[in-house]
Amino acid sequence: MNMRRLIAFTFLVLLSFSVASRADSPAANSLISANDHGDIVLRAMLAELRRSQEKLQLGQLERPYYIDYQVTEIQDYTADAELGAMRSDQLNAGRLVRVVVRIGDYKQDSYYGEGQGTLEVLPMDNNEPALRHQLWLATDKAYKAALSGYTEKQAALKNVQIEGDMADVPDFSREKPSEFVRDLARLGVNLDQWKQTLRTTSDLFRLDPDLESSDAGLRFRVLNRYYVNTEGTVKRDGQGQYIYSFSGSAQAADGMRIDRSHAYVVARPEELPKPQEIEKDAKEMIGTFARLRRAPVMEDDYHGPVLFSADAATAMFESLIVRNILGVRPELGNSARTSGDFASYYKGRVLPDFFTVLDDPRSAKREGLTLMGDYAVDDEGVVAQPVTLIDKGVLVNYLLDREPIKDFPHSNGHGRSALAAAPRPQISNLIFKASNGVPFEDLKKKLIQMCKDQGRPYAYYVETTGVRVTPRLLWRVYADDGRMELVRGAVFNQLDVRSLRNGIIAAGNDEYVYNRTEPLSSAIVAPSLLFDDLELQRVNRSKEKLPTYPAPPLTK
Amino acid sequence: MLLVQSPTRYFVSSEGSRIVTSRPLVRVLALGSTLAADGMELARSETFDASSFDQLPADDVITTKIDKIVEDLKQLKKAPAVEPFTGPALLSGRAAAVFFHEVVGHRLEGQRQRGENEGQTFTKKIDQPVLPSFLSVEDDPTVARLAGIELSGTYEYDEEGQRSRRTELISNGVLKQFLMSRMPVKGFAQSNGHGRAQAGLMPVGRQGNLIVRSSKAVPDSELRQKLIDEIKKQNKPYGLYFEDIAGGFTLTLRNMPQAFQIMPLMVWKVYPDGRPDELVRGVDIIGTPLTVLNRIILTGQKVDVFNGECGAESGSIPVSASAPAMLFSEVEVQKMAQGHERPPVLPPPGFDRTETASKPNPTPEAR
Repeated sequence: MNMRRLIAFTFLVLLSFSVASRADSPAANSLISANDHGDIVLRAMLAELRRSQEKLQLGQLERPYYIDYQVTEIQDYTADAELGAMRSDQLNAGRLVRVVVRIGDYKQDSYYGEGQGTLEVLPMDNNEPALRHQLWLATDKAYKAALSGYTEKQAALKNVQIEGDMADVPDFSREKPSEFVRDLARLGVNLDQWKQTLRTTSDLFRLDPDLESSDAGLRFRVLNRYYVNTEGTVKRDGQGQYIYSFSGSAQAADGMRIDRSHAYVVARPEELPKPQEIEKDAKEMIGTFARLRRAPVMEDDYHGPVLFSADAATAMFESLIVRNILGVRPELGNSARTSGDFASYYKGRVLPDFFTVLDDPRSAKREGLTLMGDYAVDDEGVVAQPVTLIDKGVLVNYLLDREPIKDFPHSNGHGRSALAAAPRPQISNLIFKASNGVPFEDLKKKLIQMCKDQGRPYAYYVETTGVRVTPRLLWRVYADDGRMELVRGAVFNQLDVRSLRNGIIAAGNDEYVYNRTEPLSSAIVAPSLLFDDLELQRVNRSKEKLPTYPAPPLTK
Repeated sequence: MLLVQSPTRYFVSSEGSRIVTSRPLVRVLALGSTLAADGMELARSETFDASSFDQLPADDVITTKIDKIVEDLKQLKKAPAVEPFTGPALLSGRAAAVFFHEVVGHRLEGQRQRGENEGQTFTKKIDQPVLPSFLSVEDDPTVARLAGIELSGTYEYDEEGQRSRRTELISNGVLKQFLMSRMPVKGFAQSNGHGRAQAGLMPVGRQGNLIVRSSKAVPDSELRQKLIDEIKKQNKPYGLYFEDIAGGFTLTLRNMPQAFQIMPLMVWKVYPDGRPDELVRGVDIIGTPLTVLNRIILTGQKVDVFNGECGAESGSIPVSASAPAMLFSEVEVQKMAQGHERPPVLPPPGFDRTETASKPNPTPEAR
């Protein structure tokens, strides 16, 4: 380096320090928590957060008005077995940090395009200098991304017309900071024992030699989260996800594929099923393959009453309701309230008037099962609130994070992150309740009565469903003697939000807890449902040929 | 980064092959990267491959190399960007090995001789000179060690169940054959045991242990003087010494250009008048690689081994490349296209002035 360059470089360095020192003053009234709760990760996060808030500024460009760090620590154990033999067995662990730097102000900021946070890998060890080093780099990246996100957004705003009341919706809501530090979660299971259970469960599939593939698998995951922001929030908590599942696949003589699966999804290891329970459920499921292969194929088309089990009802609500009650702001310039199908249904009827829907992050256990969507403070540090979304059939609220939508200026504690992704509105425990629920047997009687009244020989009962609410266990319920017959190869046609509003004529007083982990830990609870008129059709999918020669013997 | 794997492969075929092979790999990878003030990404890495933990170099050997990474990066950060230059250059054995792996080895893969999208650089050159006559290139997966170092590209059978064998690719500068899997190319109907693939992928012709041999070698201690002689002969102000080159298989940069590409990392200006060498950064070699190869004047005697991981259409496989240092009469370089990412705004944690000093920062005027 020649002398002239060296001088110029030195001057530049000095200049940048002087800018930093002049800008130091806001540090005096920093809101950042001083309490690291004796936790090295929190200490490293708070130290870098403070340093970044005090000093981060590129030349004369804008300083951040807000920064948050979300550290997600994942411990994942997955294994699976087939026909009594282990197939995979993996233990993974990692720590990620997501840094959001916002410039501008609450009203209008840089959270746009690449300015929506930066993800980096963080060391696993609680080594403060190493943690701070990565946090430093991630913050720097996030700040630069925020600067370009801000520019990008200003440019985008010039191209769209923002309608009157939308202009008043701020970019980021002001919320009360919270301090919530809980113990970290740990994988509380004996992995070797569970591996043996996988072998045992998968071995049961030898019972049906006509199965083409089968599997018993598990995924035990612990997610610990640390979160701090420049408004003073400090949060640390952990959650578990324990999944044990088995599945099989076969072909009927006509080539139609028959899939079945079963999963236990629980938040605590002690709620996992006992081996005897798994064995009983697996044997029962394996038994259905032979019955399904022999079952008649769905007729061309059916219009009429359909009964949903509580299990099938949760899957149906998941597919039709969940997405639409999220207060997700549509893209820039779009004046809709949300990006879901219920955007214009605020204060409108979306379900029959005997239905009330509540999302409750603090819901109690049901039938000994912890609901998966349990949390006290959301992933943006906002205290969780129970929210009545649909009151007597009328949509009265949305689930909200800190990105406000029209008429809803504040979060209701539903900003949730899937793994290390950006928080967005998500359900916690979504509970469907009918005020006039009757026992399931009464719904079945009513179904039969409807058949008789309409002069039908039978109606349908959906017991379980697969992807996109495709019936897996579908029964004909005969009007004359109430007997049930399995049917295969059916799909719903035009099962949509409109059929929910007008089609549900009665509900059960039972309930099914559908614990799920995708996109994140949450639960849907619903009763069985009776629809007066739905359409079922024969599936139109090309059928693969059966294997050209038989499977090798399944006995040793 | 530590990678330990011990794969066992079972292979049977309807032709009667029954093969069980196992080849453990222990790899220690050290990587450092930083940005120059102008935003140029700078990276240094070292890979240590061995078949078991006790075959790894001693800790102090590894830590010395890591110290060197840190020192190199410090120097690179300060170093000026290279200016366009044409003139003599010396490549270290390591740099020459990477250069041959990327520029020669990949182009000799059998499947590159067919297919419209392939360069087919060598397709019609069989029995013709492609390198100076004092150079020979072979690929020999049967050798386990060279120059006291375990070679990563060693295997007994390839992924098509073919026994590995020494394959003379270029003999005294004349192209003899390609790296063949069981996919024939014109003129070569059979495999020579180089059908390699990562588990689950379709094998194609790949390198194992690429070895460059020279019959025109001088003791390595004389190489520097030979470079200076060449600089003087050509009446150039300086020459270049390529200490290290990164290729697709050196695992050096995240956003590394695809295989076959080479990126010189440590390049020094060598002055003929005794001035100390000067490190430059951002060097990009221009010109057709094959033309460049024909400008090799002589080589050193000591062979350097580079072990690494090679990626191509059949996945990632362990390979090695070995070569002596090489003197080129002419290499043309320019400054590479670079990112313009700014270096971090704040100093690293613990290096703030305000964190160590209690006094407020002096203003520029006070200085």
